[in-house]
Amino acid sequence: MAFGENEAIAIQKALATHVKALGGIERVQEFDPTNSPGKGITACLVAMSGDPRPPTGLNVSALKLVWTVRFLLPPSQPLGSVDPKLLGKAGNLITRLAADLTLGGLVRVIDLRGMAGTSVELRLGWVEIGGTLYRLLDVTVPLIINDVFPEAS
Amino acid sequence: MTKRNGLGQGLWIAGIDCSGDTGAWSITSPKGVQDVTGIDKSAMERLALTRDASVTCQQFFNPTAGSAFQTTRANAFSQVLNFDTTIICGSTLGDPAFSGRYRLPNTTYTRAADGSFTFSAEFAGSSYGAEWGHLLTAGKRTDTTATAPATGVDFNADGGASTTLGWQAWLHVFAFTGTSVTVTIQDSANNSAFTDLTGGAFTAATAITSQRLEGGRTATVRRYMKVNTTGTFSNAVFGVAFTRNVTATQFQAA
Repeated sequence: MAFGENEAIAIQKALATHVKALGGIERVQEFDPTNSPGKGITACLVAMSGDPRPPTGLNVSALKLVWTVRFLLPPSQPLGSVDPKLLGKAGNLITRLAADLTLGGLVRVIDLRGMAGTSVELRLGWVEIGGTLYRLLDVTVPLIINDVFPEAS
Repeated sequence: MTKRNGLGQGLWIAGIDCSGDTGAWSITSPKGVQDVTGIDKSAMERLALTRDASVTCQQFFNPTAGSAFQTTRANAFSQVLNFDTTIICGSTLGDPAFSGRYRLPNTTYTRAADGSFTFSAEFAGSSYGAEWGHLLTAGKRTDTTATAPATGVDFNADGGASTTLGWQAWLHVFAFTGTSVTVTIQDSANNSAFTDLTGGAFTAATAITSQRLEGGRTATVRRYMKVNTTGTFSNAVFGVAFTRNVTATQFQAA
């Protein structure tokens, strides 16, 4: 598989399609917000890291590309409902991704269990954006793309 | 000499390029020894016995045609299959290559809990041990018609201007379209006037295949080596590894 800007855009759009299909998301954006994103759930798609990992062959490297789907929600009453709302979205997203392990053929596999390092993970925290505090839930989505970088001496 | 790493290598098994399906390899070339220390000796004496070789490859499951998995899976049902295998340490003319003929007594397939599916193919030498040689092709060479390169690979580092201890050669044909292609090895003293090496013509190939050749045990091999192709074809993708012996070597093939 090749990997360049077009492939990155296609992956970004495929992930965005899955996020939009969850429903109940106020906005889906393909970058981290610089202003207060709103009162409902916002989802952001951010590429985080990449490195060659197995199934890297003797003369060609694979690419493990890690994306994060970041869900943001400002605290609202009842406060106890915030985390379940975000966790519900994350769970549904993972369910969708597990049912589309190649992202429609764009990647070799979504590394659900971390066979090449990072697995799909959930991380919760807080972040302040534009003076507003948001509850944050990151879903790490590691993708493996085969045979990206041929090697020659 | 420039130190090098192991990037950009390749693994050829019986005319199949398994490089992309292989993540790692290890090779051993053990030799048996017999203790013949007499009671009048104060240090061990040993005789060298049979040569051997083994290659262990860590490979990735790939069910498509032409994959490492497809190349060796029939071995599970066979006692007769041999695999000519060449590990190439680069894709430049003259790069080192480790070649041998092997049985495949064990393959371990592993589906791990993390979802990975890999296998370990353990090749054991059969008849010839194994040998380090050099590529006479820049990795895989593609000829679309009969081709005779003007110059060859310099083997001066392997025994000087000329050796008289014979040679071995390994051919892998990866793809072929046409009637047949004959790959012939030539040597030269000056890298311009080449002549055919005695016994250096592989059997005409008509499909994916691998072959081994050896010259006489006292055959003279001059300094420069190259490979020509002849025949009627529109596409021949092949690779050749060649060993010029610098010590006396015998083979008694089964």
